[in-house]
Amino acid sequence: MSGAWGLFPYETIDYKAAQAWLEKRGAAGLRLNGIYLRTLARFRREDAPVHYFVDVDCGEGEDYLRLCADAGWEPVADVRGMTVFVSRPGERPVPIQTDPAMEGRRFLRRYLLKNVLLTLGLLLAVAALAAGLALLGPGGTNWTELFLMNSNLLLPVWLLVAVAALAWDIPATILCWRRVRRAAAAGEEAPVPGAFRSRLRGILGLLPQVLWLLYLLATLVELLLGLGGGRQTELPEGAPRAVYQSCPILMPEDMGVEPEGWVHLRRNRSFLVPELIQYTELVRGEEQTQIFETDRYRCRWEWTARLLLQALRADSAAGRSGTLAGKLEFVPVDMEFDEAYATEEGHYLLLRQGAVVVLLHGGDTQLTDPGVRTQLERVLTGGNRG
Amino acid sequence: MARRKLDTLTEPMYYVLLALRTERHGYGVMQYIQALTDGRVNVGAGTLYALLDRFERSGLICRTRAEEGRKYYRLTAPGEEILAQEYARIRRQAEDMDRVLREEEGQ
Repeated sequence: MSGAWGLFPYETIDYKAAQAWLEKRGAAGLRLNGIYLRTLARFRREDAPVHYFVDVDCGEGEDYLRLCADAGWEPVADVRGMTVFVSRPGERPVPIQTDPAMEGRRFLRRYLLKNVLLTLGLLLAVAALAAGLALLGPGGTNWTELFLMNSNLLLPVWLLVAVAALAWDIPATILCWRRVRRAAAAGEEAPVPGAFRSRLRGILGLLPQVLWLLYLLATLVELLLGLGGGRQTELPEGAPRAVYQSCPILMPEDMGVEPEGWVHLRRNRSFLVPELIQYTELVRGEEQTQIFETDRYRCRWEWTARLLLQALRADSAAGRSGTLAGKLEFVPVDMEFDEAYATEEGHYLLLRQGAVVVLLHGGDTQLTDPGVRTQLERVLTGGNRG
Repeated sequence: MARRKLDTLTEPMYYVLLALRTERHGYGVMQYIQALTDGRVNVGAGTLYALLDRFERSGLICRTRAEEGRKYYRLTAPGEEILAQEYARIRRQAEDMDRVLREEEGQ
């Protein structure tokens, strides 16, 4: 027995359009078997036409379904607050709802009011989430991380689509409310929404969920398997010092300090940041341990570098930058680079030149000192040690 | 209270109450109305379910028993009264129409 698949993206607000779409297939003898993943409708072919009825929020229970079954309607799918009923092949039962005014009032009361409250609740939740993220301290969002994992590229797309879907949903719900209320008052059937518009609205409504699932999946894959970008490599312990020296980083020997102790360097890459070098070295000083750190980000575009620099500033201020110093407040300094920021005592620098951003810490050295400039230029341009 | 809410019965309401002068289950009501009106009046399962619920809450009908998953209903005394009032209203309307037609024929 042959069959067919179809996309069933309809929102509850367009249940009449969903019914019209199903009726077309029913006229061709296609009987719905079920709706999978909330969107994929599976049909099987019958020898005679079948009819459909889509009921909204059909939560009355067993006796309601029994009455519908007695009347010739079999429930075949429950999706997004809609119950799809199908007739036996070749039969045309009395439609489940025969009083347009009652049906309209029921739709207003059971679905539209709930949908309005749900949308308002969703808006409040989004606002609360945004406020929470803005107020959170070190435990909050790490903005820099957004640039370092490819799966994060889906986040702005998700946000855009979610906002577009919500922006469409609110006026559409209000217009639907007015249309159905007017029709119910007149005892008439509410007009069936346009097929193309209903399908488009449904797809737009589903996209945020699909994108969010994709994002979660991509993040999981990226974290567990190191696939799809964000790959890391680390230098093995005991690697020759010359290997470190070949990297565009600020090292103890650059500042006249004798290297000694623990050193660590790893490389990372993602789509937005094709090369990230993260270097940390501990040097035993006369009084206390000296720390040398370089985080060098080579971004794909200059605008990305500008955004990344601001993300690093925000994360540093909140203590999320990953440096060993905790919270760092960077203020603008004039160093004749595209952008330059330093901490108050000048031990940390945040620089951007073109598409390269570096976060530097050179022990107790005053990095804003003009004598260090040559080393800074080398780190920023990726040139060799002189 | 019931009368105030149901001042005028719609056609499906009238026939549902009429059908429940005898104890029936939901589908029995649907079949009876269809047969009585020769298919002119059809009450869908969803519409009937909502009406039965409303009539029961208004005290116009009561549930008598349940058998094989089907609930049986019957008209109550207030339901009889409402139905009789509606019948009288419809008869008056018909008599008025008759009078008008007779007058027109006499002219």
